[in-house]
Amino acid sequence: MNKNFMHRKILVIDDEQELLNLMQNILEVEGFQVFCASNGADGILLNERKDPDLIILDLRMPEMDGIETLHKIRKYDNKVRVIILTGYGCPDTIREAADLNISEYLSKPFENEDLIRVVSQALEL
Amino acid sequence: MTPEEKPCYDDYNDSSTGVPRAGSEKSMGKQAETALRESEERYSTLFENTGTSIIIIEEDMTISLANEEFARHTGYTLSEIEGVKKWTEIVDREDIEWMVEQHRLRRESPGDAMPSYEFRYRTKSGELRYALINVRLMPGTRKSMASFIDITERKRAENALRESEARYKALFTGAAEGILMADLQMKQFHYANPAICRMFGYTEDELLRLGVEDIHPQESLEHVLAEFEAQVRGEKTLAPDLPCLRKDGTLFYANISGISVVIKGHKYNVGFFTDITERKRIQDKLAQNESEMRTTLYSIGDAVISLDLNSRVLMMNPVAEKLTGWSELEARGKLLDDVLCIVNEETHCKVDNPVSRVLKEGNIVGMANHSLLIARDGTERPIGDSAAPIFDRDFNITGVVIIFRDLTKERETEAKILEQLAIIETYNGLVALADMNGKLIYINPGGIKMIGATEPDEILDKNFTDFIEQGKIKRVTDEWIPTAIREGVWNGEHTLKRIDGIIIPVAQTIFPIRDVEGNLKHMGTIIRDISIQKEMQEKLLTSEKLAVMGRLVADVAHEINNPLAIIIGRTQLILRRINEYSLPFKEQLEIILQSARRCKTILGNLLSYSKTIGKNEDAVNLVDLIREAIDNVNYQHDMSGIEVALNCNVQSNTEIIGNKVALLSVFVNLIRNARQAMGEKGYLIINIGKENDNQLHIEIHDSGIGINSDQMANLFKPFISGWKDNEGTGLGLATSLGIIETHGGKMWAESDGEGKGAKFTILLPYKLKEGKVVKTMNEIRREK
Repeated sequence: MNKNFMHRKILVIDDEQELLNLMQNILEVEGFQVFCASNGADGILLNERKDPDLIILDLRMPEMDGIETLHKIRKYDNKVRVIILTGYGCPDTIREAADLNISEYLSKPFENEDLIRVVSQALEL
Repeated sequence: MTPEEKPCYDDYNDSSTGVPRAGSEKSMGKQAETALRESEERYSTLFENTGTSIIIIEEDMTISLANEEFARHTGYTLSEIEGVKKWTEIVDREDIEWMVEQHRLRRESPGDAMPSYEFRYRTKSGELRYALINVRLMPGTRKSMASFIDITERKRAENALRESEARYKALFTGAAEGILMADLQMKQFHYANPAICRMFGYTEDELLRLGVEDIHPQESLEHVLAEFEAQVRGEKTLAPDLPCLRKDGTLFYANISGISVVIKGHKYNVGFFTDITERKRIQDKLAQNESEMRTTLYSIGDAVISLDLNSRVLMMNPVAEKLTGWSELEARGKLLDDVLCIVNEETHCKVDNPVSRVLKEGNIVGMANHSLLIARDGTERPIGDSAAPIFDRDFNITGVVIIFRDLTKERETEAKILEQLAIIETYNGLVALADMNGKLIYINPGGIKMIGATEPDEILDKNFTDFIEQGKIKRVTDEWIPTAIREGVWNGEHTLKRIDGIIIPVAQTIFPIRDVEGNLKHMGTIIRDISIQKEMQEKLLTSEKLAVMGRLVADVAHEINNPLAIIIGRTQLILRRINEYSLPFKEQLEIILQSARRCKTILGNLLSYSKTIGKNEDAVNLVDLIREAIDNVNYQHDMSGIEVALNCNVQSNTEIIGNKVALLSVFVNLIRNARQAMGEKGYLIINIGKENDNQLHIEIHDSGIGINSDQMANLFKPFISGWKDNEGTGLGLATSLGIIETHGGKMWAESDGEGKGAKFTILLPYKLKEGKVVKTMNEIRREK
């Protein structure tokens, strides 16, 4: 548990429930407060309600994908930091998302350490 | 006639006033003398004043006594006659013989002599005259006394009448016209000449028992009688075209001219009949001929003008009217030159009409080529024409007929054909004609080139089967050509065997060429080289397949990413909680983790490769592409420690035509490999230059760990990774080579061995981007 991580709120948006569970698990072990949304719409709602410091957003989701979700979030919230989750080696999507003010990206599948490193970088901790 | 012979008027007067001298003697008894004198005077007076010529003739034919009347008639004086002349000297020679006989008979056998007869005499001046004579012997003497009356005038009138009658009779009986005289009231015939009898087939007697109503058919009687009455009234003399009925019931037509005459107070109508049946038949025939000719003339599609020998227009059909602008009515009788103006197409000089030539040569002549007909309104039309003489039955030329045709359409067609020919000649595909035996009779330049020849002679006279692969000839001859003939065209794809034996894929059209009657003349074909299309098609097909595969791979990879992330994440979480009790599991968990990581790498390569396949081709700028590749690698691997040099020795408009994403993945792959071979620090040198006019030469040097010979052997083989620790997937270079080869390029690698870096070389076809080039006038002049 890292003291710096205490009371930091992270919203994870991913359609894969097991992955949500995994990330929640890893991040909570580190001391973060984690909220999970399994689709874009819930993610937007939770972002409004919980006002997280950071969003980990999967780009590849059915119905509303990550880019669209981010668009909608950015319309009212330009403050929240965002880490996008992409497939391995997809520079195109990374560039697309870069325009929407993202802090970091993380390619799936990732090492647990990578997740924590990227989150730390994004939160400048 | 001498002056002495001339009758002397004085003498005549003397004698007329003179007294008879015979018996005027002196001594006679006074009474007797007186009585005799009185008697003599009475006789003498009678003798001299009867008004009749009287003579007394002696037996010897001497005229012993003549009166003044006789002297006057004969032109002699009494003194020249009495006792001097014999009567035979006065009578015309032709009548002397029989009159002498009469003279003798009267004296020998008075009963046999004619007391009265006519004879001819001659006056002193020799004029022939006629006389009627009465002769009697004087009783008791051998003298005869003759009295005669000059009947010359009567005789002449009689002769004249007789002659005239004979003439008329000859005229009437010999006339070709039939003459019938009908009485006005009864309309019965009173005279018929032989011609009318022949005309009607009746004898004269039969005809004279008939009337007007018997010789015309019942149905036309009303008309005939109306004409008859009109002639009677003198309103008209000719009744044309009247039907007449022969004895045998047959009909003929006659023109009847009539005239009214009065004979012995009786009125008659004399009709002169002319049988016009034959004339009518000829006229009808003529009219029919002309109508037939006209119909023919009018139905001819060509313009026809017929002319007489003086080049004057007789007839003109509607086509000729249209082309000349003259109506037949206006043109008739005009000179041909006024109606038909023909000039030379180029010089516009008047061309002589061919009539005189036809008349001279007597056969058909064509007119000069390139003739232009100028119509009345100035319209010019190219025409083709000919002229021919018209012969009568005896082969005399009676006129000329000119036939001409508007060639405007033909000229347009000709021009169109030339245009089409030009198109065919410049068409870069093959257009060829073969006769029905398959022998090539035409091939266009495009075809000559396609077939690999340089001259038409190399190909002409060959059979079309020479250009078909052996095994395919039967299908062409037995299936495709019959289909083309049956359905008008066959379209399809097959192959063409060039003269150098190379087989090229072609699209072919086979079609029959028929003449106007629809008979097969030739077979035509159009062949298009579709090698490039075929290649493109195959590429497209491949790229379509690849696109589908790419999407599939991407989908699968992404779907696997999540479970793989979970496996890796969960395994790591477990590994963090390993203690001395669970230590035996640690090694196995790490194997799971490594395997998952390997899957992750494979998936990564698959994903990036999937993006490169099945995309459209673009013009790609190589320098930009390499920069982008370096950027991309930089996303994943920090390149900040690597010194990159990009040297480019080509024009800025040099382009590669290809799949940009695929090509990008090649360079990403190579640069990432270099980065991995070098680690965080090193040199990356990229050189771009021209290999030749068609290809670019690209070298990628790195200062990395190099490639050993074992690795080199399997470098481009799929699923054999050169990286240690199962880092690679063995797909990167394999797919990269594939991509380069698809783009018509080559790729190879060189390395001086482990630790000595590596060099990858790529050759790729290029082209120069076509821009709008503004040339100066000088440049254009120089080119010329």
